[in-house]
Amino acid sequence: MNDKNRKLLNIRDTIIIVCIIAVILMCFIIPRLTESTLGEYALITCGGKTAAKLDLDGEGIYTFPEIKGMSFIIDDKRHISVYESDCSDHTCMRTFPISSPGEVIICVPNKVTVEIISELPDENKPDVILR
Amino acid sequence: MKIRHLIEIFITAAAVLAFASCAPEKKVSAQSFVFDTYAQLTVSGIGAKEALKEISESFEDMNGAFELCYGTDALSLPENEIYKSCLEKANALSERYGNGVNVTCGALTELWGISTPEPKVPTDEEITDALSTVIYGTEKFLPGTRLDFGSVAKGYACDEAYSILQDTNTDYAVINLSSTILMYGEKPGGEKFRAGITDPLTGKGYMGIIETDAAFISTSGGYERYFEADGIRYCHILDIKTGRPVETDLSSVTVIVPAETPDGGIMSDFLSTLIFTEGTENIGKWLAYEEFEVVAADVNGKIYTDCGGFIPDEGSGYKYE
Repeated sequence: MNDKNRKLLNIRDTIIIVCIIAVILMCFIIPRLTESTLGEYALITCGGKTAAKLDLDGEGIYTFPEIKGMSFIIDDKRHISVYESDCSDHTCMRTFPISSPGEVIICVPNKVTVEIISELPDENKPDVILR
Repeated sequence: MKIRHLIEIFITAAAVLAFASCAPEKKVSAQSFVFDTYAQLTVSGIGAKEALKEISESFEDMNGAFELCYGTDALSLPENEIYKSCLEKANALSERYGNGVNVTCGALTELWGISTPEPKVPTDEEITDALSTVIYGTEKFLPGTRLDFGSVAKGYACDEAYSILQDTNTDYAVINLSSTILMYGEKPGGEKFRAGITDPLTGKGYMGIIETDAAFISTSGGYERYFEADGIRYCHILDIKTGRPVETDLSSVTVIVPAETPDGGIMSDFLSTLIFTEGTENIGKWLAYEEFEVVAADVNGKIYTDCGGFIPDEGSGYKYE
């Protein structure tokens, strides 16, 4: 009986099984571990290119060389808004401060967007926000 | 066959399945600034790349055609199938639902200059002059008539996107033009699409979420685009009866049209503006229509809706009428 068992799983088989289990674990577990370390941040783009990723805990006023004529403010409640803008309509400055994933501030004349991003899975998050 | 081989086959099959489930979904995204807003396009399926490219190109073409109308008398415009077709569709909607939304009001839009660096309150005489250039139905353009497709352009564009998606091998898509969206196809697992409606009273968070199958959805409100003069707030939507910014007791109107409805995009865009301009006085009439659903909120936080998939946000303080 013992001889039969020894033939059933030799060293080569064991190595293959271990490798496959390792790959499966990498596929399923590692992405979830990574997700859990990512929080929420404000992604600022200009002309479709990323200009900055701001931690919402970093209270203060921010300017970026890529975005001329605009500044952004993060308040003590982790809300971000446009502080100043030289754009033609100032709609971006009138948009209320944002803090929830999916919320966006848009400055069409300057082609600038500010969006709250969260990599954490959220079943309640809508696919889109109408505004 | 030895038991060991069976085990190997079983493990290999399990590994293949595991890899298959890890394979990235064929989903592509793109962003652009068109139709005076920020467009976010997401398409999934084997033909997603092709569809996204076609949609992006057609949006650029449409955007160019509509921008050309701004500041130019309609009589001087070069022949263009895009704005002619959009004008015809808008006229058909006016005939069916009422002419409170009129794309020939461009002279008025330019006169007020809302969303420009120098908005102003015009004189009564200027308003009367601009109103006299507005035409109805199939009337011919007058000298001074100008076209403003702001109330229907995004819906019209979503209709075009729908046609492209149908002709390409795609599973589902979300075409987000901020105030008008197309939710196309079927999400994996048959999940409903979810669209949040911005709280019009605070301008942030949601007043609720709409859960729906594929649909065109449009929202109109005056809480974001406006200007203030002498303590009065003027919203960007103009009332073509008075020539002045709309005075309404509604703060937000959302219209949901099933995706399979012909020209459903321009219909949702047109109707959300029209219902917004008419206020709560006529809301009962709009809630009675079966071909579309409505979620409206008034300035006191009351919700008027016939939308079965609408879930109000518990913390927002809105109440059903």
